Amino acid sequence: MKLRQKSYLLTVLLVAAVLYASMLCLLLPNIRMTIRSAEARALGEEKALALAIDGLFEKTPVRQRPVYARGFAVYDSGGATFALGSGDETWVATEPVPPVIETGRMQWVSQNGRTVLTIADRLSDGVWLHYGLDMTDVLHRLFWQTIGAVFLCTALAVGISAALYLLEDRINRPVERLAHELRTPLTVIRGYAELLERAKLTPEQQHQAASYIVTESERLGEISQKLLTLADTRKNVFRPERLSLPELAAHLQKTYPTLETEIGWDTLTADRALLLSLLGNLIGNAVKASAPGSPVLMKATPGVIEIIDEGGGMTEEQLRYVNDPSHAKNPGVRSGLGVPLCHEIAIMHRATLTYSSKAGEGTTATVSFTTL
Amino acid sequence: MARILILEDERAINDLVALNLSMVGHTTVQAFTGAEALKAAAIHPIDLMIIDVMLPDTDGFTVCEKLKGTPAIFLTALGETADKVKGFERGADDYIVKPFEMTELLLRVEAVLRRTHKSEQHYRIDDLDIDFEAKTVTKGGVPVDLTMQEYTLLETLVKNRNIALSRQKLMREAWDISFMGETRTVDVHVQRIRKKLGLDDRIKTVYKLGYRFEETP
Repeated sequence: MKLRQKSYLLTVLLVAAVLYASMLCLLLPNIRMTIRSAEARALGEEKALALAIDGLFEKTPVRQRPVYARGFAVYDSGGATFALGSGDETWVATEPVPPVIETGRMQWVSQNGRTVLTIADRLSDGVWLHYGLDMTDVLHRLFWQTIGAVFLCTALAVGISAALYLLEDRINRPVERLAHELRTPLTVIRGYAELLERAKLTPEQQHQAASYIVTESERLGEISQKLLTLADTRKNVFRPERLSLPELAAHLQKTYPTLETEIGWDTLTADRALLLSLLGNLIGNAVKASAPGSPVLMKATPGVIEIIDEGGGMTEEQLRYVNDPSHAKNPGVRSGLGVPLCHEIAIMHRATLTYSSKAGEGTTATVSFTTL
Repeated sequence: MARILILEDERAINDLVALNLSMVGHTTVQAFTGAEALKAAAIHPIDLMIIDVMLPDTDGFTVCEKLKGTPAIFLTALGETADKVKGFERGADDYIVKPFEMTELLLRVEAVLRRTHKSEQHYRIDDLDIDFEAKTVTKGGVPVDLTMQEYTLLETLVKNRNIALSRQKLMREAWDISFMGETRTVDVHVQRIRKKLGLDDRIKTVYKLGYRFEETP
């Protein structure tokens, strides 16, 4: 189970990472630069600067031009070094410009607190023009975009995998539970039948083997019955209709003669067969828990149906189990599908099923309908 | 014979395994919860444990880790591959998938016991003595000459004593092939073993099934 959850998470994270990487690749062409060095050389220095900056923008196709990347140039003639921002801004160079290694080589230059990607071009001996794009905002934006994207992707991944996990769990848990429950009777029946066939047993051992086979076959029958009910709820044969509660109570009393009713709620909308199966299950459990002949109370108030017994009650451990349908293995209850099935039917009716109990003082099962 | 701890919360399965193991001469200790198993293991030294993975109070792996050093065979559900991997990582010697065949379980038990040198060295009945180590048989102190197939056949029958084995099964064990057709060879060899060792009363023909080595005729 855990493993499956992990694999969901990994898959979604991987997809998100690939999506983000491809997004970055689309962005990257925007930071490519164009050079018009030959033109710049032919003109005067100041004009060259202006041209370099303009050209930068001119040569970048409009749709690829990052609006937040500004042109930038540094004019370096040995002694006098000055830098220009794009447009009207003129800065005095604050940092020495790194020595030029090679014409046309891109390098990162830090100037006036800005981070600039430049290309150097030789205008004349000892006079260099470094020009390029002011990338500060781009980088800033990229940084926050990355963080945002990582957060978003992680949140999405966790959300989606959790949703998938829960969905799958809801669908398969009762079936898995059934498969698990099938193993025991199958093992027992096969094993004892084999013994009867192959081993020389004493009459007592033979008797024990046969009685194990009989009880476990009965258990198989029970499981098959539950499988059928489960299949019915799965088929989504959910046909809600207006039902009269007093009539339902009278119907249930025919099956459970010890049932007493206290009905203060006239009609509700529900699927008749499923609701009867739910209530029948709850009443059946209550009857089983009670002393033979002692009454079980079905109490209905608007929005709430309670099944109250005065039987043995449940321990905290058992209570935790019946209130949590996803419990892996039930400690006390022999065949554990009844309770999850009840939860399932309740969920279909947008209702919740909760148990409250104290050992020795009986149990109350409460079905609360959220929408009437 | 080996003392084997069975830890399984389903009484029916626990009894079943215990009955089968005692049938072939092992001593069994039955436990239904992890706590009971730990208590039982503290009282008697255990040669092998057979552990269900899903237990009411804990899981089989935890018990196995606490009783490190004791060989363990896990009982697991069909298709719980993750469980198997986990089991082997945490010191299982073998696993068996439910629902399982009893002879299969006995085979695995025997294999693990042999690997951990806890399997029986000798089997004595009447004036017969089988030395599993040396693979020799003496009757009344006199060595009996058996062919390899005859010896393996006898060993398989004795190790699964009181349980009938099919001719196919014996064929597979003694000749190491899955031979589905002519099983008359088995009959011929069983006849020879009976004659050489005077085991007419011990090796019984079970109608429609095969042969069974019976300790109590």
